[in-house]
Amino acid sequence: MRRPLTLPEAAKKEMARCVRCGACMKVCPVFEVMRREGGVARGKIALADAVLRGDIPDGRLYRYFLSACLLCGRCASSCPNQVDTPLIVQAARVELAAKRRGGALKRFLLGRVPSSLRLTGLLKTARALRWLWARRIPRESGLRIRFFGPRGERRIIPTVATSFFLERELPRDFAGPGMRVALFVGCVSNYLRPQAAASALQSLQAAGACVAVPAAQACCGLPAFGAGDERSARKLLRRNLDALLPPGAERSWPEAITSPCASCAYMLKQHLPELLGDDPEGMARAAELSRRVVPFSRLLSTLSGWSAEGPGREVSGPARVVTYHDPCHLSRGFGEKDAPRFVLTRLPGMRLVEMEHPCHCCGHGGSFNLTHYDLSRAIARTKVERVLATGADLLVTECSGCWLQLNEAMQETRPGFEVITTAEAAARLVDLSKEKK
Amino acid sequence: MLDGSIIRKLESIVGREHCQSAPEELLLHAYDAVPSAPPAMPEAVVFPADAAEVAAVVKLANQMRFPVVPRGAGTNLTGGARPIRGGVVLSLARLDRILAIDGKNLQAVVQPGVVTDALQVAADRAGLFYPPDPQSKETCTIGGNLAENAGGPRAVKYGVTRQYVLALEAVLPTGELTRLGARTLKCVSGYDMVSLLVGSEGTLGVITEATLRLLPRPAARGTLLASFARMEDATDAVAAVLQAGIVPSAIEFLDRFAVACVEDFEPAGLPREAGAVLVIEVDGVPAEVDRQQAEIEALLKKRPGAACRSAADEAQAERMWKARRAVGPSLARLAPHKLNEDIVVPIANLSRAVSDIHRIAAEQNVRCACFGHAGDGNIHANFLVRPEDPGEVRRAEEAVRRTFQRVVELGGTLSGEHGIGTTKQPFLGLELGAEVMHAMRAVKCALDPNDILNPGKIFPAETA
Ligand SMILES: Cc1cc2nc3c(=O)[nH]c(=O)nc-3n(C[C@H](O)[C@H](O)[C@H](O)COP(=O)(O)OP(=O)(O)OC[C@H]3O[C@@H](n4cnc5c(N)ncnc54)[C@H](O)[C@@H]3O)c2cc1C
Ligand code: SF4
Ligand code: SF4
Ligand code: SF4
Repeated sequence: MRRPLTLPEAAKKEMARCVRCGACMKVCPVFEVMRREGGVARGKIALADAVLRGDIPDGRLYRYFLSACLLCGRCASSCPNQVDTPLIVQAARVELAAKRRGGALKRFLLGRVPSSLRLTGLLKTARALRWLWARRIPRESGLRIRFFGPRGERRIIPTVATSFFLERELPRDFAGPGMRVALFVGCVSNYLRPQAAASALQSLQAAGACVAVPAAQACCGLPAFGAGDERSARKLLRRNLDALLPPGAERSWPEAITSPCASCAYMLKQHLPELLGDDPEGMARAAELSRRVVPFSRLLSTLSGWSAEGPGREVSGPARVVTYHDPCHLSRGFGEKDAPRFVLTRLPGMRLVEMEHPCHCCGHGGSFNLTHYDLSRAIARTKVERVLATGADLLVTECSGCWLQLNEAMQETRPGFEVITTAEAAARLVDLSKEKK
Repeated sequence: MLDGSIIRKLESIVGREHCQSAPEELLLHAYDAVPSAPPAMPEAVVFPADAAEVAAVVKLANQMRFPVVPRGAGTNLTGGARPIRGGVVLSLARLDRILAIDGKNLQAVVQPGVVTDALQVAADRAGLFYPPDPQSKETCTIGGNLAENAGGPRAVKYGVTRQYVLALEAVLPTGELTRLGARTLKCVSGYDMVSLLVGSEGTLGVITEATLRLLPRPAARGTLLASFARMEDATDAVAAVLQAGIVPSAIEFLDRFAVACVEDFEPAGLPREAGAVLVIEVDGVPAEVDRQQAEIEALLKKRPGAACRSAADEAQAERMWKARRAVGPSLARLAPHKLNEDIVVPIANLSRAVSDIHRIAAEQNVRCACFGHAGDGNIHANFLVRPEDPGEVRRAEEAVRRTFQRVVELGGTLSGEHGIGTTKQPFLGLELGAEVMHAMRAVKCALDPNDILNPGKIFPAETA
């Protein structure tokens, strides 16, 4: 199983292959708005390489440029030498976080905010209000990182759900026929957007699956991992491993595990076995878990027997227009661009119109939107322009991080514009077919 | 060398946030696209906003005697953008506006930091065409293209960057802001200073604006793929097509090694058994395109060991070009590092040159692929190396030296488009006689008496 690399390992395995050709400049969303060499993969690799050789210190600007990465993987997928920059950046961040002992995560995230900003009275009040809001969301959730890091006070905060999804009346075990599917909810769907999880549950059931929502699941750990806090990420993943594949209960293990959030799914599929790889008992189970993870739209398509798009691109005449944003973790992580479109082209009376660069990252990128608030907003604004250029009435995506980011950005420009997840789109299909009957 | 007072003066010219001297920022401007050339740290990096700021920086440098190295996107392949004598890197990144696309006069006015592809897209939107197409066009800048006189596949019909420059605004090494050339198609008022600056690798002036010639966009394109049993048949066929009076817009060549590499890593349906493959493109009005395509097909089919087919539609044409574009990336999969030389020979000597390069590579026991713009005699000779194997690197360097020697004997030149920079300095004497080199140095000395702009480049050090 692939383990996260240390920086020297990453150097040997990945950095040495970078030939400084600069081809990454044409695809990196951070470089597109930042226009600085430190924004692009080539620059980050040169910096990490120089720090490793001791040529330059790992100073403030080094941390700034290494945190200015969405880990979106676009550079890697168009690099002629297939250099895995996200892997390098991740290794460098872990090394940085490890050096700053004690509240590693927080120090990493907060380290660069000028103290003058943190102390003004106004911001203090804003922050206090937010802490009230936050009291309802547990400490270890990735959401806290998002809304209480630097610049949290400038964010539009979505209202917290009146009842958290996981506290609801839900099927906890497998009972009945159909493929046994475990639903991983994720923080955003649990606390902020319960309809995404409810829709996933409903549409999978309608497609004939036997769905259970294990109660003991936690945050997927991606926000902590992205910030270089491997320890917290491991802790969360171990909890999730036990919740989804309880030790000694092989007979009741699910056949598939999915989530309305593709990033959560990717965390479970890819990073869980990497991070839990050192414990022999856990390792076997981790591999089993990884094998079972399927992105939501792919699972739904398989269950429904969809292997091609519906008629939704050809709808002529006046129709509502839907457009789709490809989350990095789904399109490049899972290599899945088709299944969400299988779902969306089946929405009756709606035409799917593609935006320019649907695979361009939304700018959310784990802790990126905290450490680089302005860049993140600039990237999101580019995305909003591309969405609006399609004439869309509805924007769909399949990751909670993208949903948060795009929803926030769309509301700023077009209050009331609808942004939903693939799961919610799928649930509309179910509702419509019920009405027909 | 740069003391605090100079840094403060630079800050007052470009503004504090646009003058950087943190080690991270210095390192980020210490390299270009030559991984084997060691990074060379500047002492400061400035990002001026306009020509006046550029002029002020250069003037200060000339007064205080520190080097200034202009920089575009840092994609050049000869080490030329590295500040090997320290001093200041002057980035043109903020001069990135297209000032005019003038359909009436078929001209564009651009700042140097504009990415080449952005100009092509803007011209295309206006129904016009900016032909120079370096393969790096999505990342490199017009300023860099001008300074290197960049070319690309279309050079066989359309020429290189130089053919599209009408006028320049530039800051001379002593800090004067000047305008050279004229916004007209012809101009013989005095020496041709525009030509002097184009291809001067940032040693004679900093280009701050360019007036470029555009063409009407060709209405149609046609693409053909031809394969040949022996490599010589392919290179001879190139000459035969041109002698028949047809000027394709591109004739790209792939040798057997390149074909195999593409098929190993990004299969494109190229015939592995072929000794070499040509991808040919013609353009013009539709009737003309059809006629040229048919003529080339008929001509090539008559040649020994040849097979040829025309693309029936866009999709087939795209597949043929994709195969050509896959050469770089698939070679990289085999060996990320290579010595890449862009030699040119008169097209009648193409066959000799390519087979001699392969012979030299075999004798030096290094892997070698030759491919590129055969239509104008420009071949990329790539010697694959593993940097961790110093013996192999030495053998490859020897292969490069012998290749240059042979190319000059065949009446060719060391570099068609990448320039000399630092990596080809040791070989310049193979091609240029002592008197010519002396004359060139005299030009540099006259314009840049204090050796301010991009010092230490092009000319070999020992005779400096
Ligand atoms: C993958 C790849 C493919 C390539 N393919 C081609 C190709 O097909 N054809 C080709 O010709 N080249 C090619 N190149 C080489 C390179 O892209 C060109 O040399 C390009 O013109 C460099 O532009 P740049 O903006 O990156 O300039 P830089 O690398 O930043 O600078 C190049 C030189 O120009 C000088 N300079 C830059 N801007 C100015 C200015 N405004 N005024 C004065 N001097 C200036 C610099 O001092 C330096 O000496 C390729 C490179 C790569 C990495
Ligand atoms: S594209 Fe790949 S090899 Fe080229 S500079 Fe970027 S990371 Fe390095
Ligand atoms: S992972 Fe994304 S943001 Fe980071 S360097 Fe690569 S392209 Fe840029
Ligand atoms: S989006 Fe939220 S935050 Fe992700 S689950 Fe995934 S984590 Fe926990």
